[in-house]
Amino acid sequence: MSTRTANTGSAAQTARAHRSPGSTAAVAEAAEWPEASGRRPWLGLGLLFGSILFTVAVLIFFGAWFADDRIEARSGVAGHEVEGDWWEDGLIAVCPIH
Amino acid sequence: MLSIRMPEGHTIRHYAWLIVFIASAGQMLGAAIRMAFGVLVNPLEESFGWSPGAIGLAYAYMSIATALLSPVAGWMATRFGARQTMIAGVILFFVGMMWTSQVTQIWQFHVAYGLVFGTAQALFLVPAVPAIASWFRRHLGMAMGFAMVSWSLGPALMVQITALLLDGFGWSRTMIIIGIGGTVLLGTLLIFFKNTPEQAGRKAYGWRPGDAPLVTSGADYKRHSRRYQGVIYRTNGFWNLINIHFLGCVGHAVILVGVVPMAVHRGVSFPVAAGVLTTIAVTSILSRFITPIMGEKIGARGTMFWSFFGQGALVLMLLFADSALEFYIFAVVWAIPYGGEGTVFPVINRKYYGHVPMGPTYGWQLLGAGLGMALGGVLPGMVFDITGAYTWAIWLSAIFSLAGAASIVLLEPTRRLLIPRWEDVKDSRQVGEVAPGTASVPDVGMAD
Repeated sequence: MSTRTANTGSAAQTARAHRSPGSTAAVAEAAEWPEASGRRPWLGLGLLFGSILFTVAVLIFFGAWFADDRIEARSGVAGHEVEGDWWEDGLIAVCPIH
Repeated sequence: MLSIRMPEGHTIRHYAWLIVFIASAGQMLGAAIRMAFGVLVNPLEESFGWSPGAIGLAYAYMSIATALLSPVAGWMATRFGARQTMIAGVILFFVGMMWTSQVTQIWQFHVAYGLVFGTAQALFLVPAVPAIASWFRRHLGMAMGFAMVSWSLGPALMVQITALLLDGFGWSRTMIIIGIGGTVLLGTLLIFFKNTPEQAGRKAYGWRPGDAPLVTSGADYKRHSRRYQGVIYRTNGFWNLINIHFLGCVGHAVILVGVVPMAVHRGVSFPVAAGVLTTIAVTSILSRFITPIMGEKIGARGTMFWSFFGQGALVLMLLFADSALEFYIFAVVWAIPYGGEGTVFPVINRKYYGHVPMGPTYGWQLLGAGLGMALGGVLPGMVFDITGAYTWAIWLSAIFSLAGAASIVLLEPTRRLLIPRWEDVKDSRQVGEVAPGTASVPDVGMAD
Protein backbone atom coordinates (compact mmCIF):
# COMPACT_ATOMS: atom_id res chain seq x y z
CA MET A 1 0.00 0.00 0.00
CA SER A 2 1.30 3.43 -0.82
CA THR A 3 1.00 4.64 2.78
CA ARG A 4 4.19 2.74 3.40
CA THR A 5 5.95 5.42 1.43
CA ALA A 6 6.68 7.61 4.37
CA ASN A 7 6.04 5.45 7.38
CA THR A 8 8.25 2.48 7.22
CA GLY A 9 10.93 1.82 9.77
CA SER A 10 10.75 1.58 13.52
CA ALA A 11 11.43 4.40 15.93
CA ALA A 12 14.67 2.66 16.86
CA GLN A 13 15.81 2.64 13.25
CA THR A 14 15.02 6.29 12.83
CA ALA A 15 16.79 7.14 16.05
CA ARG A 16 19.89 5.27 14.86
CA ALA A 17 19.72 7.09 11.57
CA HIS A 18 19.61 10.41 13.37
CA ARG A 19 22.60 9.57 15.52
CA SER A 20 24.81 8.67 12.60
CA PRO A 21 24.14 10.91 9.64
CA GLY A 22 25.70 9.57 6.49
CA SER A 23 25.48 5.96 7.68
CA THR A 24 24.00 3.23 5.48
CA ALA A 25 20.79 3.22 7.50
CA ALA A 26 20.44 6.95 7.24
CA VAL A 27 21.05 6.99 3.50
CA ALA A 28 18.61 4.11 3.01
CA GLU A 29 16.00 5.91 5.03
CA ALA A 30 16.52 9.17 3.18
CA ALA A 31 15.86 7.20 0.02
CA GLU A 32 12.46 6.26 1.42
CA TRP A 33 11.16 9.81 1.29
CA PRO A 34 8.44 10.16 -1.32
CA GLU A 35 10.56 12.79 -3.02
CA ALA A 36 13.51 10.45 -3.28
CA SER A 37 11.61 7.32 -4.19
CA GLY A 38 9.34 8.99 -6.75
CA ARG A 39 6.28 7.25 -5.33
CA ARG A 40 2.87 8.79 -5.77
CA PRO A 41 0.10 9.31 -3.17
CA TRP A 42 -2.38 6.95 -4.79
CA LEU A 43 -4.27 6.17 -1.59
CA GLY A 44 -4.85 9.81 -0.65
CA LEU A 45 -5.79 10.80 -4.19
CA GLY A 46 -8.01 7.72 -4.51
CA LEU A 47 -9.94 8.59 -1.34
CA LEU A 48 -10.36 12.19 -2.48
CA PHE A 49 -11.65 11.19 -5.91
CA GLY A 50 -13.87 8.54 -4.29
CA SER A 51 -15.51 11.28 -2.22
CA ILE A 52 -15.95 13.47 -5.29
CA LEU A 53 -17.56 10.59 -7.18
CA PHE A 54 -19.88 9.80 -4.27
CA THR A 55 -20.89 13.46 -4.06
CA VAL A 56 -21.63 13.60 -7.78
CA ALA A 57 -23.66 10.37 -7.48
CA VAL A 58 -25.73 11.84 -4.63
CA LEU A 59 -26.40 15.01 -6.61
CA ILE A 60 -27.37 13.02 -9.72
CA PHE A 61 -29.70 10.80 -7.66
CA PHE A 62 -31.57 13.72 -6.10
CA GLY A 63 -31.45 15.71 -9.31
CA ALA A 64 -33.04 12.83 -11.24
CA TRP A 65 -35.65 12.40 -8.50
CA PHE A 66 -36.46 16.11 -8.74
CA ALA A 67 -36.61 15.98 -12.55
CA ASP A 68 -38.86 12.91 -12.45
CA ASP A 69 -41.26 14.68 -10.06
CA ARG A 70 -41.37 17.80 -12.26
CA ILE A 71 -42.18 15.83 -15.40
CA GLU A 72 -44.87 13.84 -13.58
CA ALA A 73 -46.42 17.04 -12.20
CA ARG A 74 -46.55 18.59 -15.68
CA SER A 75 -48.05 15.39 -17.11
CA GLY A 76 -50.75 15.49 -14.43
CA VAL A 77 -51.67 19.08 -15.35
CA ALA A 78 -51.58 18.42 -19.10
CA GLY A 79 -53.47 15.13 -18.82
CA HIS A 80 -50.98 13.34 -21.09
CA GLU A 81 -47.29 12.44 -21.10
CA VAL A 82 -45.05 15.48 -21.66
CA GLU A 83 -41.46 15.92 -22.83
CA GLY A 84 -38.83 16.70 -20.23
CA ASP A 85 -36.41 19.61 -20.50
CA TRP A 86 -32.87 18.76 -21.65
CA TRP A 87 -31.49 18.83 -18.12
CA GLU A 88 -34.37 16.73 -16.77
CA ASP A 89 -33.89 14.07 -19.46
CA GLY A 90 -30.12 14.23 -18.94
CA LEU A 91 -30.29 13.65 -15.19
CA ILE A 92 -32.77 10.79 -15.56
CA ALA A 93 -30.62 9.21 -18.28
CA VAL A 94 -27.47 9.40 -16.13
CA CYS A 95 -29.11 8.09 -12.94
CA PRO A 96 -29.35 4.28 -12.96
CA ILE A 97 -32.14 4.27 -10.33
CA HIS A 98 -34.57 6.68 -12.04
CA MET B 1 -6.61 41.77 41.36
CA LEU B 2 -7.44 39.28 38.64
CA SER B 3 -4.57 36.97 37.78
CA ILE B 4 -4.42 34.18 35.25
CA ARG B 5 -2.79 31.01 36.52
CA MET B 6 -1.00 29.14 33.74
CA PRO B 7 -0.14 25.42 33.86
CA GLU B 8 3.37 24.36 34.85
CA GLY B 9 5.94 25.24 32.20
CA HIS B 10 3.77 27.88 30.57
CA THR B 11 3.79 31.65 30.69
CA ILE B 12 1.36 34.23 29.43
CA ARG B 13 4.21 36.75 29.12
CA HIS B 14 5.23 35.68 25.63
CA TYR B 15 4.68 37.50 22.35
CA ALA B 16 3.19 34.32 20.85
CA TRP B 17 -0.01 34.85 22.84
CA LEU B 18 -0.43 38.31 21.31
CA ILE B 19 -0.17 36.64 17.90
CA VAL B 20 -2.88 34.17 18.97
CA PHE B 21 -5.06 37.08 20.12
CA ILE B 22 -4.62 39.07 16.88
CA ALA B 23 -5.18 36.03 14.67
CA SER B 24 -8.24 35.11 16.71
CA ALA B 25 -9.66 38.61 16.36
CA GLY B 26 -9.32 38.32 12.58
CA GLN B 27 -10.93 34.88 12.60
CA MET B 28 -13.68 36.10 14.88
CA LEU B 29 -14.60 39.00 12.59
CA GLY B 30 -14.49 36.85 9.45
CA ALA B 31 -16.57 34.06 10.94
CA ALA B 32 -18.97 36.57 12.44
CA ILE B 33 -19.69 38.44 9.20
CA ARG B 34 -20.29 35.12 7.46
CA MET B 35 -22.59 33.75 10.15
CA ALA B 36 -24.45 37.05 10.54
CA PHE B 37 -25.58 36.88 6.93
CA GLY B 38 -28.91 35.45 8.03
CA VAL B 39 -29.91 38.69 9.78
CA LEU B 40 -29.25 40.69 6.59
CA VAL B 41 -31.79 38.84 4.48
CA ASN B 42 -34.98 40.46 5.76
CA PRO B 43 -33.72 44.11 5.68
CA LEU B 44 -32.47 43.66 2.10
CA GLU B 45 -35.72 41.99 1.08
CA GLU B 46 -37.70 44.91 2.54
CA SER B 47 -35.47 47.62 1.04
CA PHE B 48 -35.13 46.29 -2.50
CA GLY B 49 -37.76 43.59 -2.90
CA TRP B 50 -35.11 41.00 -3.78
CA SER B 51 -36.10 37.37 -3.21
CA PRO B 52 -34.44 35.45 -0.36
CA GLY B 53 -33.07 33.04 -2.97
CA ALA B 54 -31.39 35.83 -4.92
CA ILE B 55 -29.96 37.32 -1.72
CA GLY B 56 -28.79 33.87 -0.63
CA LEU B 57 -26.80 33.52 -3.85
CA ALA B 58 -24.38 36.13 -2.47
CA TYR B 59 -23.68 33.78 0.44
CA ALA B 60 -23.05 30.92 -1.97
CA TYR B 61 -20.67 33.10 -4.05
CA MET B 62 -18.87 34.19 -0.90
CA SER B 63 -18.44 30.57 0.31
CA ILE B 64 -17.14 29.41 -3.07
CA ALA B 65 -14.83 32.43 -3.49
CA THR B 66 -13.37 31.87 -0.02
CA ALA B 67 -12.92 28.15 -0.66
CA LEU B 68 -11.33 28.49 -4.10
CA LEU B 69 -8.98 31.26 -3.01
CA SER B 70 -7.84 29.54 0.20
CA PRO B 71 -4.86 27.78 -1.44
CA VAL B 72 -3.87 31.08 -3.07
CA ALA B 73 -4.09 32.84 0.29
CA GLY B 74 -1.95 30.11 1.85
CA TRP B 75 0.63 30.48 -0.91
CA MET B 76 0.63 34.28 -0.47
CA ALA B 77 1.18 33.87 3.28
CA THR B 78 4.31 31.81 2.63
CA ARG B 79 5.51 33.94 -0.31
CA PHE B 80 4.82 37.44 1.03
CA GLY B 81 4.17 36.83 4.73
CA ALA B 82 1.02 36.32 6.80
CA ARG B 83 0.87 39.97 7.92
CA GLN B 84 1.09 41.34 4.39
CA THR B 85 -1.59 38.90 3.18
CA MET B 86 -3.87 39.80 6.08
CA ILE B 87 -3.41 43.54 5.39
CA ALA B 88 -4.53 42.92 1.79
CA GLY B 89 -7.52 41.06 3.23
CA VAL B 90 -8.41 43.94 5.55
CA ILE B 91 -8.27 46.43 2.64
CA LEU B 92 -10.58 44.22 0.59
CA PHE B 93 -12.84 43.79 3.62
CA PHE B 94 -13.16 47.58 3.85
CA VAL B 95 -13.86 47.90 0.10
CA GLY B 96 -16.41 45.07 0.24
CA MET B 97 -18.28 46.51 3.21
CA MET B 98 -18.36 50.06 1.80
CA TRP B 99 -19.51 48.82 -1.60
CA THR B 100 -22.16 46.61 0.01
CA SER B 101 -23.50 49.64 1.89
CA GLN B 102 -24.07 51.48 -1.41
CA VAL B 103 -25.55 48.73 -3.61
CA THR B 104 -28.81 49.27 -5.44
CA GLN B 105 -28.75 46.29 -7.82
CA ILE B 106 -28.63 42.61 -6.92
CA TRP B 107 -25.57 41.97 -9.12
CA GLN B 108 -23.69 44.66 -7.20
CA PHE B 109 -24.56 42.88 -3.96
CA HIS B 110 -23.36 39.59 -5.41
CA VAL B 111 -20.02 41.11 -6.45
CA ALA B 112 -19.48 43.30 -3.37
CA TYR B 113 -20.53 40.84 -0.68
CA GLY B 114 -20.03 37.56 -2.54
CA LEU B 115 -16.77 38.02 -4.44
CA VAL B 116 -14.97 40.94 -2.77
CA PHE B 117 -15.80 39.97 0.79
CA GLY B 118 -15.33 36.27 -0.05
CA THR B 119 -11.81 37.04 -1.30
CA ALA B 120 -11.10 39.25 1.73
CA GLN B 121 -12.18 36.47 4.03
CA ALA B 122 -9.78 33.98 2.45
CA LEU B 123 -6.92 36.47 2.76
CA PHE B 124 -7.36 37.17 6.45
CA LEU B 125 -8.62 33.78 7.61
CA VAL B 126 -6.18 31.35 5.98
CA PRO B 127 -2.81 32.91 7.01
CA ALA B 128 -3.83 33.22 10.67
CA VAL B 129 -3.54 29.54 11.63
CA PRO B 130 -0.16 28.88 9.91
CA ALA B 131 1.15 32.09 11.52
CA ILE B 132 0.15 30.83 14.96
CA ALA B 133 1.81 27.49 14.18
CA SER B 134 5.10 29.19 13.35
CA TRP B 135 5.08 30.96 16.73
CA PHE B 136 4.72 27.70 18.70
CA ARG B 137 7.68 25.35 18.73
CA ARG B 138 5.71 23.26 21.24
CA HIS B 139 2.21 23.38 22.80
CA LEU B 140 0.54 24.16 19.46
CA GLY B 141 -2.60 22.34 20.65
CA MET B 142 -3.19 24.85 23.43
CA ALA B 143 -2.66 27.77 21.04
CA MET B 144 -5.08 26.28 18.53
CA GLY B 145 -7.60 25.69 21.33
CA PHE B 146 -7.66 29.41 22.12
CA ALA B 147 -7.75 30.37 18.43
CA MET B 148 -10.55 27.98 17.53
CA VAL B 149 -12.79 29.25 20.31
CA SER B 150 -13.03 32.48 18.31
CA TRP B 151 -14.95 30.61 15.60
CA SER B 152 -17.81 30.11 18.07
CA LEU B 153 -17.48 33.31 20.08
CA GLY B 154 -17.37 35.58 17.02
CA PRO B 155 -20.75 34.61 15.60
CA ALA B 156 -22.33 34.39 19.06
CA LEU B 157 -21.40 38.05 19.73
CA MET B 158 -21.57 39.45 16.21
CA VAL B 159 -25.02 38.18 15.33
CA GLN B 160 -26.45 40.08 18.31
CA ILE B 161 -24.40 43.23 17.58
CA THR B 162 -25.38 43.18 13.88
CA ALA B 163 -29.05 42.72 14.77
CA LEU B 164 -28.89 45.71 17.16
CA LEU B 165 -27.12 47.87 14.57
CA LEU B 166 -29.64 46.93 11.89
CA ASP B 167 -32.46 47.83 14.21
CA GLY B 168 -30.95 51.22 15.09
CA PHE B 169 -29.25 52.36 11.90
CA GLY B 170 -30.65 50.37 8.95
CA TRP B 171 -28.67 47.96 6.80
CA SER B 172 -26.61 50.51 4.81
CA ARG B 173 -25.17 52.38 7.78
CA THR B 174 -24.69 49.07 9.60
CA MET B 175 -22.38 47.92 6.80
CA ILE B 176 -20.44 51.19 7.02
CA ILE B 177 -20.11 50.92 10.82
CA ILE B 178 -18.94 47.28 10.65
CA GLY B 179 -16.60 48.08 7.74
CA ILE B 180 -14.94 51.04 9.46
CA GLY B 181 -14.95 49.42 12.91
CA GLY B 182 -13.54 46.13 11.66
CA THR B 183 -10.88 47.83 9.54
CA VAL B 184 -9.71 50.10 12.36
CA LEU B 185 -9.65 47.19 14.83
CA LEU B 186 -7.80 44.75 12.58
CA GLY B 187 -5.53 47.44 11.11
CA THR B 188 -4.45 48.48 14.60
CA LEU B 189 -3.88 44.90 15.74
CA LEU B 190 -1.87 44.05 12.63
CA ILE B 191 0.66 46.75 13.53
CA PHE B 192 1.76 44.43 16.32
CA PHE B 193 1.61 41.27 14.22
CA LYS B 194 4.92 39.58 13.42
CA ASN B 195 5.01 36.75 10.90
CA THR B 196 7.52 34.56 12.69
CA PRO B 197 9.42 34.72 15.98
CA GLU B 198 12.73 34.71 14.12
CA GLN B 199 11.75 37.80 12.12
CA ALA B 200 10.78 39.48 15.37
CA GLY B 201 14.09 38.52 16.96
CA ARG B 202 12.39 36.26 19.47
CA LYS B 203 12.19 32.55 20.26
CA ALA B 204 9.09 30.54 19.47
CA TYR B 205 6.90 29.52 22.42
CA GLY B 206 8.17 26.26 23.87
CA TRP B 207 11.67 26.77 22.44
CA ARG B 208 14.39 24.94 24.33
CA PRO B 209 18.15 25.40 24.29
CA GLY B 210 19.48 22.97 21.70
CA ASP B 211 16.57 23.44 19.30
CA ALA B 212 17.90 24.21 15.86
CA PRO B 213 17.16 27.77 14.71
CA LEU B 214 14.77 27.95 11.76
CA VAL B 215 15.24 29.57 8.38
CA THR B 216 12.13 31.74 8.04
CA SER B 217 12.93 34.45 5.51
CA GLY B 218 15.06 35.34 2.51
CA ALA B 219 15.58 33.78 -0.91
CA ASP B 220 16.67 30.44 0.57
CA TYR B 221 13.50 30.27 2.60
CA LYS B 222 11.28 30.91 -0.41
CA ARG B 223 13.11 28.42 -2.60
CA HIS B 224 13.18 25.82 0.10
CA SER B 225 9.52 26.25 1.06
CA ARG B 226 8.56 25.69 -2.61
CA ARG B 227 10.59 22.50 -2.66
CA TYR B 228 9.12 21.30 0.63
CA GLN B 229 5.61 21.98 -0.61
CA GLY B 230 6.39 19.78 -3.62
CA VAL B 231 7.32 16.95 -1.25
CA ILE B 232 4.18 17.52 0.81
CA TYR B 233 2.04 17.17 -2.33
CA ARG B 234 3.44 13.66 -2.76
CA THR B 235 2.25 12.39 0.60
CA ASN B 236 -1.03 10.54 1.02
CA GLY B 237 -1.78 12.56 4.12
CA PHE B 238 -1.95 15.83 2.18
CA TRP B 239 -4.71 14.62 -0.18
CA ASN B 240 -6.53 12.57 2.42
CA LEU B 241 -6.71 15.50 4.85
CA ILE B 242 -8.39 17.65 2.16
CA ASN B 243 -10.82 14.77 1.62
CA ILE B 244 -11.45 14.40 5.36
CA HIS B 245 -12.04 18.13 5.86
CA PHE B 246 -14.51 18.08 2.95
CA LEU B 247 -16.44 15.09 4.32
CA GLY B 248 -16.61 16.45 7.86
CA CYS B 249 -17.82 19.86 6.70
CA VAL B 250 -20.59 18.38 4.55
CA GLY B 251 -21.63 16.36 7.61
CA HIS B 252 -22.02 19.32 9.96
CA ALA B 253 -23.12 21.94 7.40
CA VAL B 254 -26.25 19.85 6.73
CA ILE B 255 -27.12 20.12 10.41
CA LEU B 256 -26.11 23.74 10.96
CA VAL B 257 -28.24 24.87 8.03
CA GLY B 258 -31.03 22.33 8.45
CA VAL B 259 -31.59 21.84 12.17
CA VAL B 260 -33.85 24.88 12.65
CA PRO B 261 -36.18 24.06 9.73
CA MET B 262 -36.10 20.39 10.83
CA ALA B 263 -37.29 21.35 14.32
CA VAL B 264 -39.96 23.70 12.93
CA HIS B 265 -41.10 20.92 10.58
CA ARG B 266 -41.55 18.64 13.62
CA GLY B 267 -43.75 21.23 15.36
CA VAL B 268 -41.24 23.22 17.44
CA SER B 269 -41.86 27.00 17.38
CA PHE B 270 -39.34 29.13 15.47
CA PRO B 271 -37.80 31.04 18.42
CA VAL B 272 -37.36 27.79 20.35
CA ALA B 273 -35.90 26.09 17.27
CA ALA B 274 -33.45 28.97 16.77
CA GLY B 275 -32.24 28.34 20.32
CA VAL B 276 -31.09 24.86 19.23
CA LEU B 277 -28.53 26.49 16.93
CA THR B 278 -27.37 28.85 19.68
CA THR B 279 -27.01 25.86 22.04
CA ILE B 280 -24.81 24.10 19.48
CA ALA B 281 -22.63 27.22 19.08
CA VAL B 282 -22.19 27.72 22.83
CA THR B 283 -21.63 24.05 23.73
CA SER B 284 -19.08 23.60 20.95
CA ILE B 285 -16.84 26.30 22.48
CA LEU B 286 -15.67 23.80 25.10
CA SER B 287 -14.71 21.06 22.66
CA ARG B 288 -13.13 23.55 20.24
CA PHE B 289 -10.74 24.45 23.04
CA ILE B 290 -10.08 20.97 24.42
CA THR B 291 -9.86 18.88 21.24
CA PRO B 292 -6.62 20.30 19.77
CA ILE B 293 -4.97 19.90 23.18
CA MET B 294 -6.15 16.28 23.30
CA GLY B 295 -4.91 15.83 19.74
CA GLU B 296 -1.48 16.99 20.78
CA LYS B 297 -1.27 15.07 24.06
CA ILE B 298 -3.20 11.86 23.39
CA GLY B 299 -3.00 11.46 19.63
CA ALA B 300 -4.22 13.46 16.67
CA ARG B 301 -5.63 10.61 14.60
CA GLY B 302 -7.58 9.06 17.46
CA THR B 303 -9.00 12.40 18.56
CA MET B 304 -10.00 13.22 15.01
CA PHE B 305 -11.53 9.79 14.48
CA TRP B 306 -13.77 9.98 17.54
CA SER B 307 -14.84 13.53 16.66
CA PHE B 308 -15.89 12.46 13.18
CA PHE B 309 -17.45 9.23 14.39
CA GLY B 310 -19.40 11.07 17.09
CA GLN B 311 -20.56 13.71 14.65
CA GLY B 312 -21.78 11.02 12.25
CA ALA B 313 -23.34 8.60 14.73
CA LEU B 314 -25.02 11.12 17.03
CA VAL B 315 -26.72 12.93 14.17
CA LEU B 316 -29.01 9.90 13.87
CA MET B 317 -30.67 11.10 17.10
CA LEU B 318 -32.48 13.59 14.87
CA LEU B 319 -34.40 10.76 13.19
CA PHE B 320 -36.31 10.30 16.45
CA ALA B 321 -36.43 13.89 17.78
CA ASP B 322 -39.99 15.16 17.97
CA SER B 323 -40.03 17.66 20.83
CA ALA B 324 -38.07 20.77 21.76
CA LEU B 325 -36.43 18.89 24.65
CA GLU B 326 -35.17 16.15 22.32
CA PHE B 327 -33.75 18.75 19.92
CA TYR B 328 -31.96 20.50 22.79
CA ILE B 329 -30.53 17.21 24.10
CA PHE B 330 -29.29 16.54 20.57
CA ALA B 331 -27.74 20.05 20.42
CA VAL B 332 -25.76 19.54 23.62
CA VAL B 333 -24.60 15.99 22.83
CA TRP B 334 -23.81 16.51 19.13
CA ALA B 335 -22.01 19.84 19.65
CA ILE B 336 -19.18 18.11 21.52
CA PRO B 337 -17.83 16.03 18.60
CA TYR B 338 -18.85 18.74 16.12
CA GLY B 339 -16.77 21.35 17.96
CA GLY B 340 -13.70 19.14 17.82
CA GLU B 341 -14.11 17.98 14.24
CA GLY B 342 -12.14 20.70 12.46
CA THR B 343 -9.74 21.84 15.14
CA VAL B 344 -7.09 19.11 15.02
CA PHE B 345 -5.95 19.77 11.44
CA PRO B 346 -3.16 22.24 12.36
CA VAL B 347 -1.91 19.78 15.00
CA ILE B 348 -1.81 16.82 12.61
CA ASN B 349 -0.12 19.03 9.99
CA ARG B 350 2.62 19.74 12.51
CA LYS B 351 2.96 16.04 13.31
CA TYR B 352 3.23 15.07 9.64
CA TYR B 353 5.31 17.93 8.30
CA GLY B 354 7.06 19.41 11.34
CA HIS B 355 7.85 23.08 11.76
CA VAL B 356 7.43 23.96 8.07
CA PRO B 357 5.55 26.90 6.51
CA MET B 358 2.00 25.57 6.66
CA GLY B 359 0.20 28.18 4.53
CA PRO B 360 -0.41 26.31 1.25
CA THR B 361 -1.14 23.00 3.03
CA TYR B 362 -3.71 24.58 5.33
CA GLY B 363 -5.11 26.62 2.43
CA TRP B 364 -5.79 23.45 0.43
CA GLN B 365 -7.47 21.89 3.46
CA LEU B 366 -9.71 24.94 3.76
CA LEU B 367 -10.59 24.54 0.09
CA GLY B 368 -11.98 21.09 0.93
CA ALA B 369 -13.73 22.52 3.98
CA GLY B 370 -15.26 25.41 2.05
CA LEU B 371 -16.61 23.21 -0.72
CA GLY B 372 -17.98 20.83 1.92
CA MET B 373 -19.74 23.69 3.69
CA ALA B 374 -21.23 24.88 0.39
CA LEU B 375 -22.51 21.40 -0.51
CA GLY B 376 -23.78 20.68 3.01
CA GLY B 377 -25.59 24.01 3.06
CA VAL B 378 -27.49 23.17 -0.10
CA LEU B 379 -28.44 19.56 0.74
CA PRO B 380 -31.15 20.01 3.44
CA GLY B 381 -33.27 22.43 1.40
CA MET B 382 -32.81 20.41 -1.78
CA VAL B 383 -33.74 17.14 -0.06
CA PHE B 384 -36.77 18.70 1.62
CA ASP B 385 -38.02 20.23 -1.63
CA ILE B 386 -37.84 16.83 -3.33
CA THR B 387 -38.93 14.42 -0.60
CA GLY B 388 -40.99 16.63 1.72
CA ALA B 389 -38.92 15.48 4.72
CA TYR B 390 -35.41 15.78 6.17
CA THR B 391 -34.79 12.06 6.71
CA TRP B 392 -32.49 11.72 3.69
CA ALA B 393 -30.55 14.83 4.75
CA ILE B 394 -29.92 13.32 8.20
CA TRP B 395 -28.70 10.05 6.68
CA LEU B 396 -26.46 11.90 4.22
CA SER B 397 -24.95 13.93 7.06
CA ALA B 398 -24.19 10.70 8.93
CA ILE B 399 -22.76 8.99 5.83
CA PHE B 400 -20.40 11.87 5.00
CA SER B 401 -19.13 12.17 8.59
CA LEU B 402 -18.64 8.40 8.97
CA ALA B 403 -16.85 8.28 5.61
CA GLY B 404 -14.54 10.94 7.06
CA ALA B 405 -13.95 8.75 10.13
CA ALA B 406 -13.12 5.78 7.86
CA SER B 407 -10.68 7.95 5.89
CA ILE B 408 -8.95 8.95 9.14
CA VAL B 409 -8.26 5.26 9.84
CA LEU B 410 -6.34 5.18 6.55
CA LEU B 411 -4.14 8.16 7.46
CA GLU B 412 -0.47 7.49 8.09
CA PRO B 413 0.59 7.04 11.72
CA THR B 414 1.85 10.29 13.23
CA ARG B 415 4.85 8.78 14.99
CA ARG B 416 7.26 10.33 12.53
CA LEU B 417 7.44 13.07 9.94
CA LEU B 418 6.44 12.35 6.36
CA ILE B 419 9.06 14.73 4.94
CA PRO B 420 12.61 15.77 5.80
CA ARG B 421 13.04 18.00 8.82
CA TRP B 422 12.80 21.72 8.09
CA GLU B 423 14.96 22.35 11.13
CA ASP B 424 17.92 20.82 9.30
CA VAL B 425 17.92 23.69 6.81
CA LYS B 426 20.41 26.13 8.26
CA ASP B 427 21.87 28.03 5.37
CA SER B 428 22.09 28.17 1.61
CA ARG B 429 24.62 25.36 1.44
CA GLN B 430 21.95 22.90 2.46
CA VAL B 431 19.16 24.26 0.33
CA GLY B 432 18.22 21.82 -2.37
CA GLU B 433 19.72 18.89 -0.51
CA VAL B 434 18.08 16.39 1.77
CA ALA B 435 20.39 15.96 4.68
CA PRO B 436 20.85 12.27 5.45
CA GLY B 437 19.42 11.12 8.72
CA THR B 438 16.67 13.69 8.68
CA ALA B 439 13.99 11.10 9.26
CA SER B 440 14.19 10.94 13.00
CA VAL B 441 11.24 11.58 15.24
CA PRO B 442 11.42 15.26 16.09
CA ASP B 443 11.03 16.48 19.62
CA VAL B 444 8.02 18.68 19.06
CA GLY B 445 6.37 18.05 22.36
CA MET B 446 3.72 15.76 20.95
CA ALA B 447 2.82 12.15 21.37
CA ASP B 448 0.69 9.82 19.31
